[in-house]
Amino acid sequence: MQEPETTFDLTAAEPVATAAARPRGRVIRVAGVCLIAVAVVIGLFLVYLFGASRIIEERSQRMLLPEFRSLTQQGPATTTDWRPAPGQPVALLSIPKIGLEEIVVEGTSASALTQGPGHLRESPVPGRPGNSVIAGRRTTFGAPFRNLDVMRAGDEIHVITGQGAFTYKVTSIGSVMPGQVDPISPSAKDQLTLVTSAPAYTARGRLVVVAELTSDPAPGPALTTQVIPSDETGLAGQPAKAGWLLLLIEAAAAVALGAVWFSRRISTRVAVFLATPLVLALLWATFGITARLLPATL
Amino acid sequence: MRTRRGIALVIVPICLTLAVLVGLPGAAIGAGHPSVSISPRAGLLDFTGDGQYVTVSWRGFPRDSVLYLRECVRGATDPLSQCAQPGFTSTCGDACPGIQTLGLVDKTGAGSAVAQVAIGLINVKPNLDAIAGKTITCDFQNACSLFIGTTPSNLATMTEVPISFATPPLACPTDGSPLTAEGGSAGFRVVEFAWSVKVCAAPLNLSLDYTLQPAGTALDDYIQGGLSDVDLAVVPQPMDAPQTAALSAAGGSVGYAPIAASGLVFAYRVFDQTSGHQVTTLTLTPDLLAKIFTGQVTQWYLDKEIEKLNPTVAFPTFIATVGRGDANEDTQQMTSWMWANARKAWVSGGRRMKPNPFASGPTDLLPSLGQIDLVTGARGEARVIAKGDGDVVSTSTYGWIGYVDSSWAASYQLPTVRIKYPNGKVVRATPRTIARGIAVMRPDVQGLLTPAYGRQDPKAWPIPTVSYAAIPHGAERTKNPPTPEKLDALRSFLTFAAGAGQTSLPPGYVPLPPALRQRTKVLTNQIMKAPPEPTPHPTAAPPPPPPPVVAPPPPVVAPPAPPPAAPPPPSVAPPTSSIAPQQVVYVAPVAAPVALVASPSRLILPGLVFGAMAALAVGVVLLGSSFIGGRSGRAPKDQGSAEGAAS
Repeated sequence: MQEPETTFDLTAAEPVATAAARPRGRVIRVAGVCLIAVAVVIGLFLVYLFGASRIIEERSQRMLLPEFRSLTQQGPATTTDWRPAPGQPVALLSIPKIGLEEIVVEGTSASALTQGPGHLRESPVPGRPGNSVIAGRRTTFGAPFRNLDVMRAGDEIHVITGQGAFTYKVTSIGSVMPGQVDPISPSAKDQLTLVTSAPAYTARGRLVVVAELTSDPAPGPALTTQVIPSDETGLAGQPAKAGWLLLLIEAAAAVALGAVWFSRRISTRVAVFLATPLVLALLWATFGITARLLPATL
Repeated sequence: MRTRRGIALVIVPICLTLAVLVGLPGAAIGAGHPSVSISPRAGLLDFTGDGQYVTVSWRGFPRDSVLYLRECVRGATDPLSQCAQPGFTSTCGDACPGIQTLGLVDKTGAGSAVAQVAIGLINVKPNLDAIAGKTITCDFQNACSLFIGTTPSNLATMTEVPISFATPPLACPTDGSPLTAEGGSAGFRVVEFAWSVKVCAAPLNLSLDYTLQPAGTALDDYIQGGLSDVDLAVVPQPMDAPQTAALSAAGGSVGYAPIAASGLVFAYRVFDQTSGHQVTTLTLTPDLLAKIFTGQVTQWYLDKEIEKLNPTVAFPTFIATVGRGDANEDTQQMTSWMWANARKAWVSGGRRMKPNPFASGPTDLLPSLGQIDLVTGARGEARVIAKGDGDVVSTSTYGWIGYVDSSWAASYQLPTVRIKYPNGKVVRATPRTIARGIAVMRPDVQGLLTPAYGRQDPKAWPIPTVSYAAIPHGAERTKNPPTPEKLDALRSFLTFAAGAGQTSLPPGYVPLPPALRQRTKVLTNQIMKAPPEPTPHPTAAPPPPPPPVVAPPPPVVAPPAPPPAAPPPPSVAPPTSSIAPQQVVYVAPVAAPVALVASPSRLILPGLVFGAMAALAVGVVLLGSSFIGGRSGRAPKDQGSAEGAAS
């Protein structure tokens, strides 16, 4: 029971008598450590967001590929009235100029965009008539659209769907700030609109690349104009996910209590050994949820 | 003691971390952040003097508060000079009051209601005189917003939703070549409000005017030719025998060019008496509809069958059945469907009368019954359903149901009845089902398409409407022949209607299938040119297009790109269509663009970063001060602070 201090206990290493005699100094010290811990956790979150989250996107892309194959090889995606369900792969987007080749997933919520570029649900599927909108992340989760700003008029964008291969030629690029006309609005032209966040880390507006279809569009069902939910415009997060954080707090409290009980009753080393993976998993989950509260195309 | 400190030191940082992670997003976006969406938001227009009906949906407002809507100039801050005022009127009169009550927010904080947006001069005296300092203008040249919130006197607390307006027909130049149309309710919305403002611009320069008339009257006026100055009639039905004879006597013949597709729907406005919300899901069987429109069911809340179909709805005491008092094509379609689906219930509506007026089959004139509120004109009927009539306006006592074209139901934001067939299948009126309903229509002897009224298909709306333009075709009318300029104007209008016009359809319409557009193109070319010849079959295959371009797939993935599968042909398909890939042109309706709105989500990340930097700085300062303080008193082994700072 009288094991040496754990990593958590290091700050409490001063003698008990002194601690009781100097309660104010101890409170300050604990508060300082807590604040630093908070900063460290947020730092870890930034590492997750701009670095490790790439793993999630790459894994999703690997899993989407076989699904895309089965949908497009004699699958439902070859028919003219196919409407992709949220989360289904819609198209293969490749932009030679920036070396991009990604599966486009249906939906533009923050969750959908963790898997790769996302197709705005209310817009036509690429290749069909109208304004097809694809949103992608610029700095996080693999950042597929990180180099979108180097695109110039005349560059080619290739899209493959179940209905064939289509080539678009970039006609304009620019950023759109609040108050200006939103480029994801429907239009009469057969075009592809790629959107991501601008400026890169603050996502106040959109970076927009508009490309026109060079061939005849493939047939598709007529779309009804619908209101796009606010968490699928690409600029907002998914505030509804914040509820999960409460559950994670409860889980964290349970892990902490369990670890303390374990270290008192059995062994501090074993407690640390057991609690570490749980804490890491909780952190990972918390980071994932928090990332979904951020703008979807960040 | 030591383990207790241990507990504290484990729990406090974790909880603090999570509290920060929860607190920051909570503060930035919060579950209670109110949001409002308005549909439609763009292209609003003053539809037949009622302003624009919009559906307002909200989320995140405090429970039990009353939500209000105000119409103000864009970015307004002063409600007294920049908003519609209660007590004054606007072009839609008392129907668009200065402050509209949307309703009580229920426990979910979310809900929706229908409101009316005034267009034009607002805050005027009853004689529409401007009031100095108070009059504002909301139209296609003057941007406005709707403000939604709980305190209508303080705009800063309300949520602003920018709205934009469509160019009204009045803004068109008056010197275009005149083209006068008359026709039924199904073609009215698109021709008068959507297409007329497009064709009045260059290069077409048409001054197009559409007068709403029952189809029979419109055809009569068309046959009169130059005398009544009607250049084309837009109708869902062909001429009857006397009309055809009259036209032949005048030496003319007629072609029917499809220009618009919609459907007849049963629209209603009923408020749930328990929740106070408007009912948006209502299911009825053909038999029940027949009983309702023959006055056999008026008190729905007593009817066991209606209750079984709609168990969650608390119906008001009376539901007024609204019908058309004039002879018209909508009634003809409605009764044809009743005759095919609920003949027994329909006929029994008149079993006490001699002779039974309901036993004579489909009719364009509803028998007059005390239980049915007969209103003249499509405009009148839709208005009564949407607003009530005379003393009958209280939604806590009355509900309304009637039959209108889907474009009118959409304009007045009226929900439509779902029909449950005896086989248990339910069909809803949606763009998809109406398009399918059009696709399964069968050609009649004149080559016009007739709905499959008796078809009980959950995917196809049973009462679709194709609006045809009745135009000169083949032989030239010797009496009052149209001038060559008129014919040119007619040709450009029809080319537009079957082409670009199908991409700018208002809600409630579906694009014409390609075969019908092709038919209009053929008829346009035959105006007054060729000798009489049979009009092409509506399902004649259009010329085969070049095969679709299929590029080789890249090496990474190999999805084969088979030629696009042709959709089901609109009706009886010629055998060739299964071989040659048919060029199918689908078009998406284009809504007016909306403005980009920044999201508060973008504040979270900077908040986290600044929070981390602040926490780090304060933490280091705290630890440092306690370390210095501790050393001056004594020299403890304070590895803790070093460890914490290092990590």
